Amino acid sequence: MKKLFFILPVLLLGFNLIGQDYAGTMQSCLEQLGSAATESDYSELATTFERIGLAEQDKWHPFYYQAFCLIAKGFIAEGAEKKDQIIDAAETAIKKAASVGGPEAELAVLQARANQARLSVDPVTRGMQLGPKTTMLLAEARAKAPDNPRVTYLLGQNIFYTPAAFGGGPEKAIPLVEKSIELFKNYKTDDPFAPKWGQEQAEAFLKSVNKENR
Amino acid sequence: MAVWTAAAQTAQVSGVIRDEFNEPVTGANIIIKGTYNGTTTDLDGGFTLEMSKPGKVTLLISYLGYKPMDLEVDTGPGENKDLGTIKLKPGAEQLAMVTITAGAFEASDEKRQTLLKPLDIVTTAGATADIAGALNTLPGTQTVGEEGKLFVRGGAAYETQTFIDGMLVQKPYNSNVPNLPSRGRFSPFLFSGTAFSTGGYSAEYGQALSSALVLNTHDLAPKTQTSLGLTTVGLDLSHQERWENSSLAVTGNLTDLSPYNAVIRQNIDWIRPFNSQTGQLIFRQKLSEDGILKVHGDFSNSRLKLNYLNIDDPGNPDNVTLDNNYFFVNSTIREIVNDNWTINGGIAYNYNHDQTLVNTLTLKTTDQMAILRLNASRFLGDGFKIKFGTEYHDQSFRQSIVDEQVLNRRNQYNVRYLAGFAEADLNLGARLFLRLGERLENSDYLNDLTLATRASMAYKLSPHAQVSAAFGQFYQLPESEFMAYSNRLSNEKALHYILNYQYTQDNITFRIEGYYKQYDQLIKYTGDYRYHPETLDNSGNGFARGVDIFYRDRKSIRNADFWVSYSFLDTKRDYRYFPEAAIPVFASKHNLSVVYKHWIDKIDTQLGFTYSFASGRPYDDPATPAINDQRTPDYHDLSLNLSHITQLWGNYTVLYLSCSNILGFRKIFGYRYSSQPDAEGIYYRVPIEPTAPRFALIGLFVYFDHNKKQ
Repeated sequence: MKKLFFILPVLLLGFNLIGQDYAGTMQSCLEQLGSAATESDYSELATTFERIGLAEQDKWHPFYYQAFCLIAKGFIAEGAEKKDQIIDAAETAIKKAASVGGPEAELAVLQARANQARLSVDPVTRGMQLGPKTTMLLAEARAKAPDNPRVTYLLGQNIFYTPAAFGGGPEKAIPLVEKSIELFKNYKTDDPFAPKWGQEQAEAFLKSVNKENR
Repeated sequence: MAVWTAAAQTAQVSGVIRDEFNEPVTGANIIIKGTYNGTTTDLDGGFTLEMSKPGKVTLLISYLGYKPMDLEVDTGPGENKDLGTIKLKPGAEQLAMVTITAGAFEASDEKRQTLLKPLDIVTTAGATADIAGALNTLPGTQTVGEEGKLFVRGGAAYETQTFIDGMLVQKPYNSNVPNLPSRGRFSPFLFSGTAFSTGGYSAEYGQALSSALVLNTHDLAPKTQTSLGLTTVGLDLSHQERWENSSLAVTGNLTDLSPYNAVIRQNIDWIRPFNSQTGQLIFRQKLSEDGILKVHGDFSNSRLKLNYLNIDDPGNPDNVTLDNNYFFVNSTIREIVNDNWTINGGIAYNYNHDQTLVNTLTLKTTDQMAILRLNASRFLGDGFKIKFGTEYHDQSFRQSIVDEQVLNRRNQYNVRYLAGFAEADLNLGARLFLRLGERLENSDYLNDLTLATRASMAYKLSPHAQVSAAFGQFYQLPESEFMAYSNRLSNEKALHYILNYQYTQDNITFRIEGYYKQYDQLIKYTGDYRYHPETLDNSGNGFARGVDIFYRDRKSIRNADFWVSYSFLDTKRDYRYFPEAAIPVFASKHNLSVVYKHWIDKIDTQLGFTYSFASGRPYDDPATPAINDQRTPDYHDLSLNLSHITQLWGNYTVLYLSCSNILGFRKIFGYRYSSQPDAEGIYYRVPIEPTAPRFALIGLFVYFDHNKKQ
């Protein structure tokens, strides 16, 4: 028994060095993500999540957050080619997350954000195709996961920025965003690393929209 | 615990990561495999990795667009190991970006690096959604207003061939009478990719001396939709149905220029202006993840009737009627077999019948062609690819001339054409791309076997600039009008040499291309070959050389996109009836196009302008001894178009307006001369001009969506 007590901490320590503390590392990275703001913040975090993902081949969370950071970086970065390259990488990470069982609805949200980032590169030529495509993707995701607040929020946001002539506009969009806030309030998950973002953005979005319309 | 920590001495690894241009790579991820430990390279590509304990580890270097690289490193306690410079190798996508640009203009949605998007073809002012019209704003083309076809780098219209999903299209333009422009039969909306070659194209295609226009149709229709188009010249109705793995689209079109011509004065005495009925059927069946079956059927009939000026007797015009029946069906499959092999194949049938009545004379011409084609390509890894295939045509031509119920002449011939090609794509290093191909062709009617070599390369000078070069031999069977009279002819022949420089960065493209094209074995005759076919031979030759410049900018002006094309052409040929080498009538020395498109957010409208200039074209004045030594006035055109996007009864709607030549420039394409001078020795002549100074089109297109999600 004494021996066991002696070995146990050593074993644990050994694990920490080789297998490392997944939960702890994710936790601290997600905290950093909470305060990330610049291109290099997101860049740094994306590479960290990539490292975790490559070491933990069977977990979707690291790839999800790698993609999340890359998309955020894609929005901030300048230059059409560079943006496209970053979004390409994000899409690769989304695919990796999907291949290890990442939830469809959350990955659809990421893909939609990736599309939006791509669209922002060249709205005139890309808008016509990517705008409706993104709406379709989110509408399909919403049909499968009606309670996911991020899907509903992003659908509303995407429709808001789609010109009325293409079937978008505020009248169709605002009820969806309002609905998403309601969903955010009731949203519960047991997964400690599940995506939780969106409520603040949705509320801020609604506020700014209402200000404009006043 | 304390003991343990003290025992674990540290080590360091450092190095510099560079790309294929020897430029430092910033932001590459350096990972100790199996752990979370790692670092990222800095602005100079450098990194220093602290390791919690020395020993053997594997580093994984990962950077977007490059192949992940494994590196074994062994460090001793306290050691600081410098790995020096580590060069990354581009990944497959990065390699795919090195493409042949010499002689190639591509429009595609799927590929990002193309110069044009399919939408660009639709929205170019002056083109009125005609593929040839839009491509005529690119360098390497000559404006030939009375034909409406593509004339590439001093080549005649017949030297450009059109391929749909790889299958040759025999008659890509509507039938028309001489000096009235034709329109392409195929709507640009059908295609998701267009590759327009101005020379040096792949061994995969043959039978075109100057240019291959390769059109790829859409895969599955995206959704179930009905659309209605109403224009000042006709009506379009189309419905597409989408199922899980298949789709079917049926389209009908009625075109009639009578109402338009009744309102807008024409300088032609129409009895019945151009009118047509066309139908189209498009079926798609998904065979697997990447495999698809495409069936495309097109039929049309058109007619027109007019009093055509008889230049030898102006008071007594010829009564001309033209009837056309057309049928084209194309069925192709594409399938990827076990990751490495791609198979492409198809079967197609072309049918075209023209019946022309000139007063009492009837001319009937029937062209038919059946095509079989099979291609296979295989990736051999590391950017190496081979492609090979075979193609078989069975072509027949029948013509009869009947005058006052008496059969004057009947001509016909049959050609069976068999071709095979092989082509290798080689990525040599990360920056050099080579394509080598051979094409073997045989036609039984002429008993002429040819072997054509094609070679092209691209070399990336920097991430944004590249040079590309192409060389190729091209053979084409003589035009039907000659083969109908003689089988003692050979293929006409052209040699292309092309050198290209292209710079692309963030929505700005600049390219300049020089070329030299040598023609040989061109058909030549003296006198009337229809009565003396023995004078037909292959003794003609010629050359074309020039410089094409293209600049496109979608960055400098917000919401705007413009491109400028300039072509310089120097060409002469001694062919057909020419007594000596001369500039052909379709060749103008300078061609310039400026295309400008502006998207106005507030009113959901795109506004477009196209200005075209062509220097005077040669024409022959029979009073002077030399051939084609006169020049027409320069050609100017400023066209405008407007597309407004809106909703009608909740349906996506486009209102379209376009007008050519808004400034009313007079356009003279050439002159028709009387065959004999009058008593004072003067030849009577009339200019060849458009039927009206301007052409305006108003259209309304409504798309009824059947599965609205909102």
